[in-house]
Amino acid sequence: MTDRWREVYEREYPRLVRALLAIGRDPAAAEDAAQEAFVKAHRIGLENIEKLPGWLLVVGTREVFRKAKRARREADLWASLPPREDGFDTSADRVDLLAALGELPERQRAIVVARYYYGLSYDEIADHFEIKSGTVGATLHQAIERLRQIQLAGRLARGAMR
Amino acid sequence: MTDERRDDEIVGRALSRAIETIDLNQTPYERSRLATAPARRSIFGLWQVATAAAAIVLALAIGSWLTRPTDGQPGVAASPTASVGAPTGPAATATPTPSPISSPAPTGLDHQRIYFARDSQPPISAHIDSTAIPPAPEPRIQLRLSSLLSATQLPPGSFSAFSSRTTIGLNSVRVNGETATVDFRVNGGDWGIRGSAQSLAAVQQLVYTATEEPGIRRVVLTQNGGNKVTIDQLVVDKPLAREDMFGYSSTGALGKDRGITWGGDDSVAHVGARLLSATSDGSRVVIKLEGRGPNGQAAKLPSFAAWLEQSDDQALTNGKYGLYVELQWNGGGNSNGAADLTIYDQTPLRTVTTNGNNVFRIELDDSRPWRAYVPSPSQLVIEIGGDPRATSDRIAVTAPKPGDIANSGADLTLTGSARVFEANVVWRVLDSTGKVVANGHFLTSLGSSAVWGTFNTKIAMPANVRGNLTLELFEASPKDGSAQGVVQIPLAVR
Repeated sequence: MTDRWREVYEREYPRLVRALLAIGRDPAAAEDAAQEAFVKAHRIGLENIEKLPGWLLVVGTREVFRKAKRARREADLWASLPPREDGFDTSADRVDLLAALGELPERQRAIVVARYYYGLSYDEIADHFEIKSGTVGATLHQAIERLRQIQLAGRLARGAMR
Repeated sequence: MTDERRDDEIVGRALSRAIETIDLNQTPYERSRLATAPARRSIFGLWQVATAAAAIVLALAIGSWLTRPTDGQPGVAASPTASVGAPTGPAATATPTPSPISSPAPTGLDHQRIYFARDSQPPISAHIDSTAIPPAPEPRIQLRLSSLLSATQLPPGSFSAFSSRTTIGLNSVRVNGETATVDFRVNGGDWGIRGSAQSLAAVQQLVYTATEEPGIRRVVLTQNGGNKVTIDQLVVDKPLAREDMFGYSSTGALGKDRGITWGGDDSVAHVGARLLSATSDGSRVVIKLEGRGPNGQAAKLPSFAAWLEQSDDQALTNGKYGLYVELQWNGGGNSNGAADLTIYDQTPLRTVTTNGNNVFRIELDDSRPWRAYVPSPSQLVIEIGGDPRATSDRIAVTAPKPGDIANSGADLTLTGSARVFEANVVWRVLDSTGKVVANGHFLTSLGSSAVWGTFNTKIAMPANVRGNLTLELFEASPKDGSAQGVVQIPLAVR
């Protein structure tokens, strides 16, 4: 059992923490929530969870939001994240995108991450997040549209400051 | 894909890449909470044994599927013939070794088993090799029974009431709920079995073997198209369960409210107990547990509860009855113990399941009387069954054994356990005419406790009395002094 858990942990943990960081914008909370999600999965048993990655994401997300509600300090923490210096024009875009993501309502954030970072299908998202599958597409589109606007605003603002 | 959706996709992918570049200080597995998590966090009432057991079953099923050998699996098209495995062959399971779950382990109990009688003991099972196991209960029961009727190789120390000379055939098997009705073809109504011991053995073997089928608890035996079964002088005219035939004077108390509880040392930050050993000699199962502290060291036992329940034996790893042991979880520790299932398939012990910490479940073939005692503050012994002559609902004697030889005028050592009024066990020795030739009493280690007391004492056998004597132990009723829970141990005194 232990080896299987190690394997699962090493495969799923980085992705989960990144997703939770993107959703919740609090590194400590993301790490904490990811650990909690694994412990919960362990308690329930690997064999009782149908689609583990999505399951971990949903449980982790819930945990992140719970923590976020407890400590409303998202913006500060996000601002304190060191900017990446790995080049070209993209790093600023990335930070913009991630920052923009943080502007979305919590539920939209989670669904966007589930769709584009985890690659879950509409049905899987509907299933995991307990929403109607018909509304997944519309919610996603709405969220991306909003992302695009925020990102554009950021880019414009940065351009104005240069 | 519409333009709109393609644009969304582009932003989505960019976001995905952005997320992927987030820096992480990844906590290595060794330092993760997962690595230090208890196998199943559990406290009284919160942990559902059944759920965890189901999870273990699934895990085993998956595990064994992954490691499934490609050959040696029974085919599906072969005819349902069967033979009894030679006692010394690999298929013989008179003393099987427990299968660890890490190797390609069986996924559940071996129900391809038939039962043989033993002198004054409950029956014992042996594996039958079958080229195919029928998919329905009726033919499975039929297969086991016909294997039993024609069995020629027996586990050591056992006998069968059926032999190659018996010309009994099977007419039909019908299943209705928990009851199987089996009709035999008996030429001239004569089973060819003589004597009450052999007749009882025959019924015992048939009842145990037929009820080996999961979900079946009672058997109606009929002959020649629904007539009463008559074996020599023995008439069988009612449905029989294993408990009707196992030879004990009482059945084990059923239900949590009739279980055994013990107030242990809950000041230690316990993480439960570890299984020291689990053995079965066909009559008696002995499970030894040791209290375990937070660093895995032996510790005084915490409080615990033990009780017997009927099991859903259609589950892969369940027997007919499950004996649960739940030790109080006093937090503060972490055993790193792994949830585990060991399949024994040694009558009457089927499996021992643990959550790795504080909950154990012992799956059994029948509800023979059981007891729990605490030989030291850190040790718990669960004992199930025993020699039926030396076992009652309140006294279980492990020495002397029935049939032992004792010396006239010498000390005889008595060991065992009892739960009797004020810890007082009364004994007497009867000669072959039933006359009391010696008597006395002694105290067990515990009185007025749900947990049984133990004893290890010496009594003096009377001088000048020899021959076949009977040692009786019993509780003197606090009401009227009458003998309760009597055990009778025949001894040869010389």
